Amino acid sequence: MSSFSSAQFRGSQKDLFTPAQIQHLMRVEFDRAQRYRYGLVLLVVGIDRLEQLQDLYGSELRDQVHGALVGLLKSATRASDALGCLLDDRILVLVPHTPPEGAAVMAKRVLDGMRALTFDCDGRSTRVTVSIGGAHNARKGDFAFDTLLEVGTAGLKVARDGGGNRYVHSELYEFFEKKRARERADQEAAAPAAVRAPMPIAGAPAAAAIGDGVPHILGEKIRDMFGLSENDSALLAKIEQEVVTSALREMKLELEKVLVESKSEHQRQIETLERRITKLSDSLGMTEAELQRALTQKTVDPGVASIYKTVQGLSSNDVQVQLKKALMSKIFEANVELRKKIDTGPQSTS
Amino acid sequence: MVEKKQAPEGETKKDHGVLYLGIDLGTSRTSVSSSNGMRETVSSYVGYPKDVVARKLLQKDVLFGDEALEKRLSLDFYRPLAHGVIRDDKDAERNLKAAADLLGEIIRRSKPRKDELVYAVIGAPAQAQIKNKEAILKAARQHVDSVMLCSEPFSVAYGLDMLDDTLVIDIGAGTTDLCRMHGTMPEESDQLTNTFAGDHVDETLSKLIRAKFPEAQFTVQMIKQIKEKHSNVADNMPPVVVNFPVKGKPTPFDITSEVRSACRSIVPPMVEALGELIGSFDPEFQDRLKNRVLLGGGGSMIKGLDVELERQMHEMLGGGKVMRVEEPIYGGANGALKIAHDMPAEYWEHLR
Ligand SMILES: Nc1ncnc2c1ncn2[C@@H]1O[C@H](COP(=O)(O)OP(=O)(O)OP(=O)(O)O)[C@@H](O)[C@H]1O
Ligand SMILES: [Mg+2]
Repeated sequence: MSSFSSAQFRGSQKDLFTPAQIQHLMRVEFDRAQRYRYGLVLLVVGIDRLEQLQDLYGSELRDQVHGALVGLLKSATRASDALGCLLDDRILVLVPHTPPEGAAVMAKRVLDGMRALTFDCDGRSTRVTVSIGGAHNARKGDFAFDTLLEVGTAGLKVARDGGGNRYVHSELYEFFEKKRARERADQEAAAPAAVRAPMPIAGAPAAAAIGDGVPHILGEKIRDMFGLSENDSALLAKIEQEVVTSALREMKLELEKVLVESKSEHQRQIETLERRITKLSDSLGMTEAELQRALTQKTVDPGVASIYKTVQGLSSNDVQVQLKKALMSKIFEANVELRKKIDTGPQSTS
Repeated sequence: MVEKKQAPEGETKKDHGVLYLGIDLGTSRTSVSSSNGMRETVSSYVGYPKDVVARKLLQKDVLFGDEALEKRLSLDFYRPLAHGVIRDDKDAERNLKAAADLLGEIIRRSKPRKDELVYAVIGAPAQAQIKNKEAILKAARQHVDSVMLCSEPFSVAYGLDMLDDTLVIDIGAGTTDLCRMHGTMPEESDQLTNTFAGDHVDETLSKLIRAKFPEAQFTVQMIKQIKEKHSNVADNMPPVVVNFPVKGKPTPFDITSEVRSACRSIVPPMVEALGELIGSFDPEFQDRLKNRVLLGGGGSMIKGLDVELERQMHEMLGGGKVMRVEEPIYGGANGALKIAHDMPAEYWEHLR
């Protein structure tokens, strides 16, 4: 059973997440993938000639097509941790732990699946095709999620311009990365200088202001250390000012270090919780679907709890299904052994 | 030969499906994740009223978890799972009963319906002795219809789908268990255990505070609470200032560096054990293993621990990447539940 929640694709009020939230989760997943260097791919999927279709047959067909497409995407991606959402008229699907070739394979499945479908409209059956752009993170160096998204979208555009019904993977990473860097530079140049000046420490008066009225103790200490006489007041003031400035600088650095550290700690916690929420909402969506199914088959209800085995149990689509089966039988055998020992042991109870 | 348990007459027939449970039986905490969505955790303490008066007062025959801890003075008090396994000393018989009652309680808290079968996977410490496994199994069979044991670090890794080339570190109260996963069932040589874990941090912290502030009065229980609130190993950790009574009067103490040192004390032995498990692994895959270290267990909630571990791995082992289990408290239970789900029905039937 495929397992990303349909809840993530619907556009209704009842959605667990808004598309913006899912995009945020995608960003989080992307950052994680970059940090831990695992592969992920992004598919940007669009229905060909959607506007004309809608004009001809109305929004009902659109919903039908959309529903079918989401179904295909779910079974094509198969990964339990895929994220999907609608962005304007595109569907984004992010699939972690997948190499670049995976994108092409999944795209082919969706294209083939779509070609095989027909949709009924006013008694006529229609075929609908889709175009897909792909992007991956299997390249050296840092780059941003937005670049991934732009590369995918560029692929979609090329696929559409070429007549649709195809998958295109453009290699424009560098191009978009540079474009983004340029835009950033432009923005910064346009921003008023004050914004870029280092942040003053809240509550701390400017160094010069303190320098004028530094408490006597500091003055005396400095005089002692440097062997200055009462007459060297100009020099004294200068040294005092330097001491205060450098103390403030130290404090600021220290403060920044603490801030950075606690921020990254919090960031990690937020990421963890977000991933957790995604997973829970996944199984919630699936459970919902499964409950729906159970309701329609009331007479053979095997008990509510059993549903979860279907939802979360070992699926034949699981990439490691063979390994897992082998492990399960190992655990089972070990337990049979253990049971034998108990049942034949001296203090057997059963 | 397998004998099927028959429901005695008058009892509800269990014909409404199966409730699956994943149980993590720990020294300090016992947790359950269940297929009906319940998750519960209880401190691994059990107490029975000492005498008739106590029973009248408490109005209970047995108390569990923090409630038992709180009332321990009027109880026969048990921590039945020292080092994660059922204790086998002179009190063996009663410890076994306490363990069985604890399992019964955690299963009750997972709210099974009367008409469903209960199948449970219990994560037991990797190095539990056969005798201990037998004891756990016996205790569990009193409460569920079918039960299997599996090794605790294995279930943590299984729960996260990290079955190959991963090093799992489970930092509990009594022990830190390290386990090397490489696509098969881990064997003896894949596992290492040391006692530098949560309890060790508590002891170290007590010692350090006592040495620096001999006038402060405190108990280990207080220290544990402070640790769980403030634990951190970062150079720039936020200051920890706590009140301890001095001659009865609450007095503030700054124990920031003591907390940091105590929390750090478990890292070097951990790195050493990591080095051993990595060094004895197929050289071709050592780097991969190094870069997939998974931290779990209550002790993994020490802030900055992953970063510090990475730093020391860099120093001692030339590199490393550390990830944290998302839910340290339920990592073991979640994994055990996943195993319960993935286990074919006929295996469960066979063990009924
Ligand atoms: N926030 C925290 N920071 C540091 N340590 C913590 C935190 N929360 C819990 N702990 C510690 O984690 C330990 C308990 O972890 P866990 O529940 O995994 O142990 P366990 O499985 O019962 O023990 P064992 O595995 O040894 O049998 C305790 O020592 C507890 O004090
Ligand atoms: Mg444990």
